[in-house]
Amino acid sequence: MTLARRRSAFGGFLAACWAAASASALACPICFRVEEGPVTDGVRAAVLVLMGVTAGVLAGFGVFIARFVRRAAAGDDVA
Amino acid sequence: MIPYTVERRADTGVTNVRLGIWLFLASEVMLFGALFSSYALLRVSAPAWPHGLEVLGVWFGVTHTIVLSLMTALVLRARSAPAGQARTLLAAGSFLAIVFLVTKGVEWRGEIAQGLVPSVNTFFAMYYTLTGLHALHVVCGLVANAWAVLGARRVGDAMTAGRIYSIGLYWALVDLVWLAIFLLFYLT
Repeated sequence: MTLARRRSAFGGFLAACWAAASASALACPICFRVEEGPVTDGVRAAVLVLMGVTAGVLAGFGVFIARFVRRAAAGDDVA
Repeated sequence: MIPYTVERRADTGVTNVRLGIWLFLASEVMLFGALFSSYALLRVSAPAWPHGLEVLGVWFGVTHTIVLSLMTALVLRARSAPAGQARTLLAAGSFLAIVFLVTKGVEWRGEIAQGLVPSVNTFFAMYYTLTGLHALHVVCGLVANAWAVLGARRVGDAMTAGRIYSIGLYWALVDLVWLAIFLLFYLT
């Protein structure tokens, strides 16, 4: 299958998904911020903490990958 | 035998030991990160949250912090010490880790005797979960210390240096987690 055909097939698949999807999206009240209250605040704080931790770990991986890229660019003993 | 435990890999520029310990620490950070996230959820959404200064023994917390920080300093010092001295420092660090576990056990015993068990409220549920998991990490660190000290003769100085490097990083993380626990549970 050529690249153009693959793109067309994928576009068709997306269009079919969009057509079949429900008219309204449903989310839980906390995620949707309908109910403001202590639980909503708690969830928000928890998400922020976990995002901060995840961002820190991903930044560490980013530094490590950048180190590989630098080594490869410099041709440092890369096997 | 696993290759590149002593010499660096040409492609990564580090030994497999260093790469492995950093990946392991990343997974540990995510594990404790999830628990601290749960702490944030429970604390912010709780109608009332006990003050650690009132319900926990703050001097126990201070003692644990000093003992664990000293222990980590010894293990980190062992990383740059000659082989024989490094093993001595690691053994001294292990002794301090045992002191930490004993004082933690005394503290838990006192709290349980007062009826302050995990089912009392979410503060104590989180407190026992986090301090329990942390204490389990201290036990695992002790096993790693013993493994490095007892296996030193068999594997030689170069490999032992790699092990001590990894163990030092592990203890630094365990110490950092304790500092976060101390700050969140004992001081606020």
